[in-house]
Parts: sequence; C-alpha cells; structure tokens
Amino acid sequence: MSNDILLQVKGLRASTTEGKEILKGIDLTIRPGEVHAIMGPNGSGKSTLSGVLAGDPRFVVTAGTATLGDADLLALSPEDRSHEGLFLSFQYPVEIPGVSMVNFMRAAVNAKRRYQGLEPLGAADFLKLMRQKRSVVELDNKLASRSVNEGFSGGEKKRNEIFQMAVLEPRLSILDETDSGLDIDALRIVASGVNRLRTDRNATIVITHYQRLLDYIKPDVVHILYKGRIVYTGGPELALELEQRGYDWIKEQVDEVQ
Amino acid sequence: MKGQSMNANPLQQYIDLAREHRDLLESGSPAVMNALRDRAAEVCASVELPRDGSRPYLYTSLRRMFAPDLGVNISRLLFSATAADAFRCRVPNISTAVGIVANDTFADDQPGLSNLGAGVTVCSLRRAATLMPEVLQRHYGTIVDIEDMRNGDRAAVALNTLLAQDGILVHVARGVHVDRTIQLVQVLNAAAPTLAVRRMLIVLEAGADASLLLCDHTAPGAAASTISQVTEVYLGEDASLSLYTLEESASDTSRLCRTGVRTGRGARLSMAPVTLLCGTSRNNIAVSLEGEGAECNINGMALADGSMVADNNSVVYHKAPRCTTLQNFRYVVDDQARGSFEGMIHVAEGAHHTNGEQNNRNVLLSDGARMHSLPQLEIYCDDVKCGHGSATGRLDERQMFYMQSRGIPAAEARTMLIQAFMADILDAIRLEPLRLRLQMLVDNRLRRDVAPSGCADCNICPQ
Repeated sequence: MSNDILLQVKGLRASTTEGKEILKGIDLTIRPGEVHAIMGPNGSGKSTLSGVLAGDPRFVVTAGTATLGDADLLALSPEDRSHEGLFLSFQYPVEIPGVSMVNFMRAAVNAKRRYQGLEPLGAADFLKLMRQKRSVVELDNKLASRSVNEGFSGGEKKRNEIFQMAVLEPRLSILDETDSGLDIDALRIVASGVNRLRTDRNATIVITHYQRLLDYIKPDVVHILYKGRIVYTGGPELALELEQRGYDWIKEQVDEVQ
Repeated sequence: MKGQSMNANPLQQYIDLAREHRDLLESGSPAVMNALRDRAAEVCASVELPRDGSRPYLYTSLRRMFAPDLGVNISRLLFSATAADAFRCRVPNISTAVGIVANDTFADDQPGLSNLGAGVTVCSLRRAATLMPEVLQRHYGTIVDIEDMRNGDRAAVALNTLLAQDGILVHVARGVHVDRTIQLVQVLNAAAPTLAVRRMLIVLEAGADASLLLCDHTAPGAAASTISQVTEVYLGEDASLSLYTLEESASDTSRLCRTGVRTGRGARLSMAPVTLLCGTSRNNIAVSLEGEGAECNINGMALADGSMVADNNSVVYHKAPRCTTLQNFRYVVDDQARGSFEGMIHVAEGAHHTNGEQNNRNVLLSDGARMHSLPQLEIYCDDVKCGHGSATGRLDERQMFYMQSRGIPAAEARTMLIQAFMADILDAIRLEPLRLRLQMLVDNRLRRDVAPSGCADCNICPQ
C-alpha cells in the first residue's frame, strides 16, 4: 500500500442517455495495492458506476471528476482509458461472431503498444504471451481460436474476461458481478486468477451482490452503494454483516435520513 | 445528344448511331450478332425506360446512365498493347491465366491466356465465329433473350445487342477441368465519355469444371463512362463453374451488367458478385436451373460510400426437381450511398424437392445511407423447402464498446466488425488468394486509404 492515489472520484453524477439520473454524487479514493468491494442492492447504480468509469456511451456524466493517476478519465475515449490502465470485466461479456479471439487480442495488445510508443508485437512473441496468460485462468486453447465469446459457457466467458485482464495488465481493474452465473469451481478459478494478478502497484474494484466472491478475493475496503450514493464504507467485516443481515437495515437508515 | 428533354428516349442517340454506321457496325461482326440487331433496334425504340425512383430500379437511374452523349468505339480502334501491359494483376500467389479487356476490346492471342490446355478456349467472338460457329449459334442471344425481359432489363440488353460488335468466348470442352483460374481484367480507359459495350459467352460442356474471375477497373483519369455488359453462361450436365466478379472502378463509372445462366442436370454454379467501388452499378442476375439436381450459390457483397449506388437484382428460376439455391447478399452502406437488393427464388410447377434459401443483411454506417431490400419467393409447387430473410441495422453498439474498452480504437473496431459481418461471404470464396485479396481490399476500403481508382498496390495503376 502507498499514499499515492490511483483512482480519485469526486462528486460524480451520471444519467442514462434518456435523462434518468442514476449516480447522484460518488466519492471514491483508491490507492495502489488496494481491493475495494462495492456492494449494494439491485438498482443502486453499481454497474452504472463501472460503465461510467469505462466510458460506456449509454451513460452521460453530468457532474464531477474522475482521475486515474494523472489522467482525466472522463475526458478520454474508452480505448484511451484502457490504454491508461483501466480494465472493466463485464457482467455480460459481449459475443462478437466473426472476430476471432486471436485477432481481437492482437488488436488490443498492439493498440496499447502503439499508445505507449512501442513497436507491435511479433507473431511469435504474441503467441507466447497468449500461452502464458491463458494459464492464469486455465483457459482452453480451443477457445482462443473461436470468435470472441461466441458459444462460450457462462464460466468460460468470465474466465475469458480475466484472461484479457491478465494480457492487458491494467493498473485498475473493475470486476462487475464477475461471480454471477459461476459455479463454485469456476468461481475459484476466476478468483485465484485475479489474486495472482494482484501487485502492490495495481488495484481492484470488486462489484458484487454477495459476500461469496469476497471469501476468495479479500477486500481492504467495502462500500455500500444505495440510490446512487455511497452510503456506508467499512472494512471487510461490513460484507459479512451484510451477508447476515441483508440490505434492509441500510435502506431503512438511509431512507429515514432522507 | 445535347439538349434533349427528359421525355425523349435516351436510347435514341444510339439507335441513330447504329443506323448511320450500320456497315461499320456489322463489318467483321459474327453473323449471329448482326442477325439480332434489327430486333434490338426496334426494342430500343419502343421500350419504356423505368421512371427514376420506381421499382425495380429504385436507386439506379437508367436515364442518367445512358442519357449523356457517350461515344461508342464503333470503328474498333485498338488500344496500344503497352497500355494494356500497364495493367498487371498483382494479387499475390494468384497465378491465374490473365487476359486484358481494354474498354470493350479483347485482343486474341494474349500471352497470359496461352497454355490453358487442350479443350479450353478463350477467344474473341469474332474468332469464335470461325473456330466454333455452332457454339455461338446455339447460345448467343438465347440465354439472355430480349424477348424474355421487361422494361429496364429489356432496354439494357437490347442496347447491348444493338451495339456489341465483338466479345469474349470462354469455352471448356466436355469433361475438361481447367486447373488455373481464368482472370479477365476489364479496364476502362477512355479519354472522352464512352459507352463500353461488353459481351461475354461462357460455355462449359458436360462435366467441365472452371473458375473465372472478372475484374472491372477504371484507369486513373478516365472520363466518366458507362459500361453495358451482357454475360451469357451455359453449364452442361454436371459442369461446375465459379464465377467471381470484382468491381473496383471509379465513382464516375456506371455499369449495368446482365448475367444470364442456364444449367443442365447436376450442374453447379457458384457466383460472387463483389462491388467495392463504382458510381452506379446494377447487376441483373438471372439463373435458370433447368436440369434436375443443379446447385446455385450466389454470395454477393457491396461496400458503398460517397454517392455510390450498389444495386443487385438476382432471380433464380427452379424449373426442375431437386435443385438447390442459396442467395446470400451483404451490404455495408455509408455516407449518402444507396444499396439495393431485390432477390427472387421462383419455383415452377413440378420442381419438387426444391431447396431455396435467400438472405440479405445490411449495415448502415451513416444517417444519410439508404438500403432497399426485397427478398421474394414465388412458389408454384407444394413439396419444397424455401426460406428468406432480410435485416438492416447499424453496427452493434455493445460490440463496439466492448472492443474499445479493450483498447481497440473505434475506427479499427468498426473495421473488424464489418469484416466479421462480411466473413460468411468471403469464406464462401474457394479461390484462396482471391479471398485473402478481398479481405485486404475490404480492409483498405474501410480504412479509406484508397486512391480514387484503386489501392496502393492494386493491379490497375501503371507502375
């Protein structure tokens, strides 16, 4: 851990393109080496927050700032946010028939290298990189020759997300409901992959509904998001408390104040 | 004809021209071609061109194509051999047998077409008239027959028949397999606006097997011109033909191409009309499956941007039992361009166990782009399996965002998605070097780093 700040979000407000406000002022500070969990009931804005940080065009930022290192995230295109070291593991990874995993990853890797002023990776080096990173999540070689996510099982899709994360080596990873749709074995593989990629220079945001994933990926900080605001921040014990008591007590407290 | 009103018949100038220069037009032309001219002139004079904006010529204006004062090379001036020499196909590893067509002139004895082997003939129709008159007699003007057509199609074919003085015969004798792909590079290179009148006859006798690649190019700096092409194809019993047509001309080159095919029992036809660059281009394809168990695959694609009009009209007639048709067309339309697809599978009475599938999918990349799609089935037989579908939309925003979120720049993501969209069509091209080449051309086209009349290492630019 360090005193440097990796992600700084201040007063972030965002709406859907139809004008419905979902995030109503988010503040978040994440330092290198940290794992933050963001929990909250359905519809509280968890996925919107991850989408807004990654530049999802379905949302419009109406106020606030977000910086990743020195980069003004909100001013960057989604691709440049990625080049700056942001990674979003999608809750619902998108199928892209006709685009092979290999071409997809080659385009991603070389775009980042171009951004960094490096030469594109040669064929042999690229394949070696793929081989190495596949082992992180035990991704079958056969999947690599298929179209992106096409015909992948739920578990394979999530493993594929972590594989991409391993290849791109982000500074900040956002795992959006990575546990949804996973059986216990797949969950273990995905979580161990995430843990293997942790260093004291990168950080992770784990967005989840349940405590279950947090048994495997231990958070340093737990936030509760409700009605578009972070209403509660605590240590790992907060997640356990939520598991036992549910979200109602939080809702009651917040709704009372309002 | 200058100053003519819109009501005048734009074909009148060509009728007059043909009348004035009758002797020149007929001298040296095969008798079988001359025999059809009077009737063709009659049809040209009486036919009503479709009104602009009316189906089945919604976006293609025949008036605009033919109304300009276009010159016809009626005295058969030959382009110098060196001009043709400049056009070399440099598709890597393609090793085709290459012939050149300069505007509408095909010179016999081109070195690229020697050594095709016994039973394979590629020659001018004039030479064919002495070499194999019976082939010409049997097929010329019978597969694409003026009397079978209506309105625009009829006018276009009549005009071609009226003015065509020569053309190309590709003939493959019974049972002969042609190892190398025959490639004909048709280059438009006119100093003044020209009507190029191209005519082709492809005859594969029973059991013959060949693949043919037709490339349409326009030389840089050529005057705005129109191409009228009529291609007649006859496939004998169990014959097999792959016919690839690649159009990469210029934004001021218009083209109207009628391809008629008649197949015998068990014949296999695979067509791939590809439109990459043109002004207005209309393909009329009519395939008649007349013998039992014939197969017809048409995989077409068009990339249209600027003010291009890419227009395909494809009809397959099932006249015999147990024939199979697959029509698959994909368009990507950008800017103010227009795409049009009208397809038809027509199943005649008695053509039982017909298997027909027709599919058209399109992507619009801009607000100004338009696509007209009309897949149709006409079935007069109970025992058939036919389906059709059409879908037009934009690139998938979720896919775009997913790719961008992995660092792939928007323009590159777009290109990759369009290539993926075209993948089915490209995969169906069995000629591998051509498939790879097309992938590259599609890629270049999408990246817009093409010169006005070709990409950097394209075959058509003088070295």
